[in-house]
Amino acid sequence: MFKTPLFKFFASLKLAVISILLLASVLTVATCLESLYGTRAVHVLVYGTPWFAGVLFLLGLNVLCAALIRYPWKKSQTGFVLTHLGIIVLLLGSVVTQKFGVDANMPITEATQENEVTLNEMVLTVADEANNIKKEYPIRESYREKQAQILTLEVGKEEGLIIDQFIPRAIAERRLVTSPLEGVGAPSLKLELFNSRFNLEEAIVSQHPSKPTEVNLGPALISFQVLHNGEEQKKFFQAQAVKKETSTLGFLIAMARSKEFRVPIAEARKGFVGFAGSEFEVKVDEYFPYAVVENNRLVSRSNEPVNPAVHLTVRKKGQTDPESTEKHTIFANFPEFSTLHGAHSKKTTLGIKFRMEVPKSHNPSLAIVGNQRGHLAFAQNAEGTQLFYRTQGKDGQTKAQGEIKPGVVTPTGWMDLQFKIQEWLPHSVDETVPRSIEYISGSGDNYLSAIHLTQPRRGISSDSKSEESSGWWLFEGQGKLLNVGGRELFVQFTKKKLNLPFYLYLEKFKIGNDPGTTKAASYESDVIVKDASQGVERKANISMNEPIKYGGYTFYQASYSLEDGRPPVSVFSVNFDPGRQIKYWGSLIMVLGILVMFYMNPQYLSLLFKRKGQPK
Amino acid sequence: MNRLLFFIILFPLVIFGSVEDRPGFNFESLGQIAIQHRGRIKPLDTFASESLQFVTGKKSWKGKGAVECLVGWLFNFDREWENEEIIRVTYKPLKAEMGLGDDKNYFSFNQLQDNEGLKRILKSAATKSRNRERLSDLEKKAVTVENQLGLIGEIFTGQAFAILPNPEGISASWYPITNLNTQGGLPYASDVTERFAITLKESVEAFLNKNAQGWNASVPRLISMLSEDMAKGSYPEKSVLKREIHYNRLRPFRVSWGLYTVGFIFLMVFIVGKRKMFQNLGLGAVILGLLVHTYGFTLRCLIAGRPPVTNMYESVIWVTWGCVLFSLFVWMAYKNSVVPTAATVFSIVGLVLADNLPFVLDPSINPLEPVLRSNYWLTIHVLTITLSYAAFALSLCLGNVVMGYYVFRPTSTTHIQNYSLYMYRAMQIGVVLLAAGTILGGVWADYSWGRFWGWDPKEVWALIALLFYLAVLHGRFTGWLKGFGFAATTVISFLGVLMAWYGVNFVLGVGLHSYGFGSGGMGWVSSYVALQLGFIILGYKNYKKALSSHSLDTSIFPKS
Repeated sequence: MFKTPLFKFFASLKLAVISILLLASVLTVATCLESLYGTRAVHVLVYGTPWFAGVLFLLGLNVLCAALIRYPWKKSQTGFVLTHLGIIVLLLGSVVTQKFGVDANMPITEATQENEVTLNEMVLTVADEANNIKKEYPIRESYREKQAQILTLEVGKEEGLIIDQFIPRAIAERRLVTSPLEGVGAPSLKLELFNSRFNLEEAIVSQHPSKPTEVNLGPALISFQVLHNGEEQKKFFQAQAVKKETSTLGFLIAMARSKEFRVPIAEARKGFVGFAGSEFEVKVDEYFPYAVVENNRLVSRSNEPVNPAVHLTVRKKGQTDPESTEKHTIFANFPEFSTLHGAHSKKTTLGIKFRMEVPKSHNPSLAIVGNQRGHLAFAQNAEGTQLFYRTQGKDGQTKAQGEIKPGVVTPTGWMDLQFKIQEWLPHSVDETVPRSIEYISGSGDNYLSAIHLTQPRRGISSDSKSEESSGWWLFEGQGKLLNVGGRELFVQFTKKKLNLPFYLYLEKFKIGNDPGTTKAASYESDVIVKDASQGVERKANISMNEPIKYGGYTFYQASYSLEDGRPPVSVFSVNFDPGRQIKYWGSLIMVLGILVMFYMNPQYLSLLFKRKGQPK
Repeated sequence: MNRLLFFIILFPLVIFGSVEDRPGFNFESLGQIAIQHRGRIKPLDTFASESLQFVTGKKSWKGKGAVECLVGWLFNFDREWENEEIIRVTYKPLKAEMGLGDDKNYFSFNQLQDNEGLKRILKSAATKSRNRERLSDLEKKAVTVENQLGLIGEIFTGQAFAILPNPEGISASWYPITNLNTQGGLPYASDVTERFAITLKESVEAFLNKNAQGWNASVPRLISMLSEDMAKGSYPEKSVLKREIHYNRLRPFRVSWGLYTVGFIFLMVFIVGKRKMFQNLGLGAVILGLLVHTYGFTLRCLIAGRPPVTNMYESVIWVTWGCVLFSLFVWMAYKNSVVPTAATVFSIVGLVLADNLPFVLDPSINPLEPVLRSNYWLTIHVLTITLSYAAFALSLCLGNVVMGYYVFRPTSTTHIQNYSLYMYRAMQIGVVLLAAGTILGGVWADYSWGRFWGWDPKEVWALIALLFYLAVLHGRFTGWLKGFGFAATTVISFLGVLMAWYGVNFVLGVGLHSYGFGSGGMGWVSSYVALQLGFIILGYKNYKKALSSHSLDTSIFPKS
């Protein structure tokens, strides 16, 4: 058998060179694809495919045959045989891992227990809770956005669900669309404000039925409202500008007893103002729009709010004794300078800290207008058929007014500013849609994938097309309750789950930062393994590079998620790998083989091939 | 202490130009103050040179040392430094977008800080990074400028000066000097704080009044207060700080490339003139260079507290070291001084680049990513892999010697065969190390991440490089590769190493291994690749020409 031409072909050196180069080229292309489409895509495209397994198999077969054809082996061939044996064992180990191993993720919220792990395959689960049915459908991923009949589910006789679009890498984007229900939905505007120096865009949604919604946009205050009748319309065109000095000076934010209180600076300049719900009151003694130091005193260079600062007095309500009074100096731009004076002369402080919140005006040219903006007001009539505008300069004088149509460039009458309504939706709703990302960024590819579901209407004539539902988007991990053929179905697009035979309880998640920074230096989790069937309850600590093992599974600290107002979530990587030992042995044998081959008998390869001749 | 002290310190009355020269000032001693920056306690000396380098791309500015510049920036009350053109911006498209002159490479803080063009690009960059989209080159450069502005801004305000030690422990958060103002915020006795503030004030006044005597007297007092009264034991040892300053001053890798250059010249003289003395001198210089190289590497290990092979700069240092070391091994076996001569070329190029391209190869010592910390397997894996790069680099150098013969003396068969053999030896070292290192990487990945092999681009490229060399080794026996082909493919295989070592980090820019690596240097690498391929093509032409007119022995190795 060793002498058949086919065997000689598979054992040949030329095939070895060709299959090595083939693998190298495939891998080269794969890494390039990965940089474009991300890790998941390249697994779908290359590493997880049968043909790639075929390439590896070809190489393995070649290695095996090359070793077998030289049997019986001579002593000088020890290194060669060992190396080839090692490679075969290594490949076998990988097959075992591939076939029987589990590679999963397990996020656990602090102070909860979990036995469910998340695998990498995507599935669509459909649950009919009324009838107690739950089904799971695997979804074939693609590396790029795909529009096709990806999966069809039958629900009853007439009804069904179709996945007709798959987006592998999506960003959730909110956008405003015309409401599907006539006459319902909030009015919205998309506005462009520009002059020769800058160009600003903003969307504004009228939130309140009877009050204008206001947005600060650069040098302008934009408002949008609904005018319900002719009376309101008249008022809209006669309105005078209200001086909004309070909000343009900004706010003092006080932090006391781990609570925050806000006081408008303009109000506190007039006298002591109390914080609702606290025992303190505060007065701004002096306000410096452009604070500089001259002759050891803080003075204001001008009225432009370039470097706003205040001297303030804070005290317990109504008390005047020095023990309950403090003076502070606060700089808006330098919150770290927060200054409490004369503290060392007192035993205790009031324990109150301040910072200033001023309107953002980094650009000095905009800062000049910072304390008084022009006003650009919009309104629509109740029917949503007409859109009106009114512009007022900084002085409050009306510059222009009237009806306006989208797309028309109109001057505001001040600062050479012009505006254009890009889009006007009299009745709009918010919609979250995925935006497909064609190429990934260098920073990794933790994008979510998304699918689009529709409901086919079989047996219904085509003229009722307008009623056809436009379908639903589901992001990875998202679920929706759908009414299909009179049945309530909970449909979820998720990663495949698996339940372990035991629980992991997360007691505490700890994070350590690099000294003096907020960069995570280390993180670890205190867990308890709870296995009721074995009566086991074992405490353990999992940290970076320090996994724990239980029941054949290994748990690694992979990552974490911290969000304000929620307990921390620690993410473990869970691994079951029956091929591990095999792979380790294979590696060891291979490296030993190379060592023996190169250094114990350096001439052996040339001797070997002289003796055997080259298989052709 | 009253409320005015703060203003006296930070907004003094008497204003002198902080940009002016200050003869007689001892800035060296101030360099011994410890500062906490980017997660590490380091001497102010290091912080100063890193900052100056990052902002200006230079090691000194108009004859002023880094510490002096840093002090000038901090005590910049006259705001003169804000108008001094010190910030290096060289990327032409960015300058065009920002409306800056194409002819200048340096701009002032004030010119850049409110630049509308810059803000516009940064805005789109911020949106993109929020959406995890790829940044364009323009945006990356804009972010660099933003970081330069941020750093210098933090120095101007004093926020970056976290020099007030935390008595709770050396790795607790230190306090910036701006905190001197928040009386309650500092953990020192109030008289200690007050004394320090007064001394600081004196030194500021001395600096501004150009009173060298006052300055030189107050600085040591500042140091002793910080390290004794305030730190209460939580201060780095003086010897540790001095060691790092010694490392900064010595610049051991500059010294070693200097010595390698001397060695290279002597060895070349020997190779041409055959005078034994020059060989001894040359080898002596190379060995001395290797010793200094080793010393510098050891110092860096001690300073960082870890084996320093976690970023591109450090791996260049390590690989160039390994290349010279292996060349000495091969020299010992075959007594041919061309081997170390060829190796020094690689090491000189590598070290000169590391020494002069701080934007590409960042020489600063930074803390590691969590996953890279305190790991035995990581150290062994990375050291083994990079050492294999060193062996391949040596085989590359020797391969180019062979190519050189094909270009200039295609008929010198004996030389060609000898150098091919040395090249093969170096390649053997490399293959063993790379195979072992890749597998050790699997062991580490299994240990840290729970998978032995995950098709991560960096591991895949290590495998591709290995496959290239394996194809060459096997190709030798198929008869497809003769002498020329063997040398040429060996040289070309190094491009796989180059990709695994350097390319993956930012040509591909993805994967688990992508942390901690800077970007840039694409132009350098591409020109090298073009030159290398051109050299091989030239060699092939001359080899073919020689083959048509002479009968040459095309076997790879000399007959033993």
